[in-house]
Amino acid sequence: MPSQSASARKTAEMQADVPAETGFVLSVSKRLKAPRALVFKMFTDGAHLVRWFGPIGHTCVECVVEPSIGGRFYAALTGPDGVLRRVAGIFTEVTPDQRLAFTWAWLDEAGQPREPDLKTIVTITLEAQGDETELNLRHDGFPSAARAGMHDKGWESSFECLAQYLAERA
Amino acid sequence: MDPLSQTFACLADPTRRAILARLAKGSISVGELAEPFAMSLPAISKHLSVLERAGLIEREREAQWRRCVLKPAPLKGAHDWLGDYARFWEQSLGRMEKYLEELQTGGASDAKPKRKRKKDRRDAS
Repeated sequence: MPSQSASARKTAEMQADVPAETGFVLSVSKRLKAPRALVFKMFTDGAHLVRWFGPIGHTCVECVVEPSIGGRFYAALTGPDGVLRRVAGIFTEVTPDQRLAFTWAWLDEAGQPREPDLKTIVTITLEAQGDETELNLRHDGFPSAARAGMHDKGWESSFECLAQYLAERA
Repeated sequence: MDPLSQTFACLADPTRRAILARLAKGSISVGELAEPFAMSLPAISKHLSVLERAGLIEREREAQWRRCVLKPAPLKGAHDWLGDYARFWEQSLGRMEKYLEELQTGGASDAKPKRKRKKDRRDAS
């Protein structure tokens, strides 16, 4: 069947079979030795946010936080490489001291979403545990492929296998 | 579709992930590759075409021995990309934890460490 693959290639529009409604979920939990109201402020008060937002070695040089539905979330970070990275979103949920959600998109130099096909959302829930706070952060809506990274054992082992392969090539 | 989305679209399918995992162990022929799957050769070929189009594999063209070879570059891109997000939040929240500690232990003058009233513990005696 020499010509089979050529025709198969033509008809195989398989991107369509990707379940778009379920995305990858990145989930991080942290128990913080601080009252819930203060932890909430970490996200909703720009003066606090700039002090911690961004990975190690990054500095948050500017931020806009308008914690009401439809309000903006914006932060500009400089990394150890000196590159300016900007992220922007819109608040979709604000329950004082309890819950926050905002959309998330990295911006390019022109201020446009870097990955326009990608709609991700960050949801933060805070639970008071005495004087401490249990913070749960979910980052949702990554391409569905990666979702399996968390939920599907088969994928996990495949991914490990691939990660090892990549490490060997590095 | 941008290359990263294309990689993820490819990886969304369990059969394609299994194919890639198998190829990560070494190149094999299409026939051998199809063996563990309860699928016809044309069905597997279809998956291979999708993977090939996304630049994730390469198929050699000899009719008898069509070996499939994994191409790591797009996978590495996807892997790094996801890792970036995980690192972003883990490290940010780590920094938040430190900042909260500073804030509550005298970093700010009005932020006296709040002591909770000692709980009355009921002793057995």
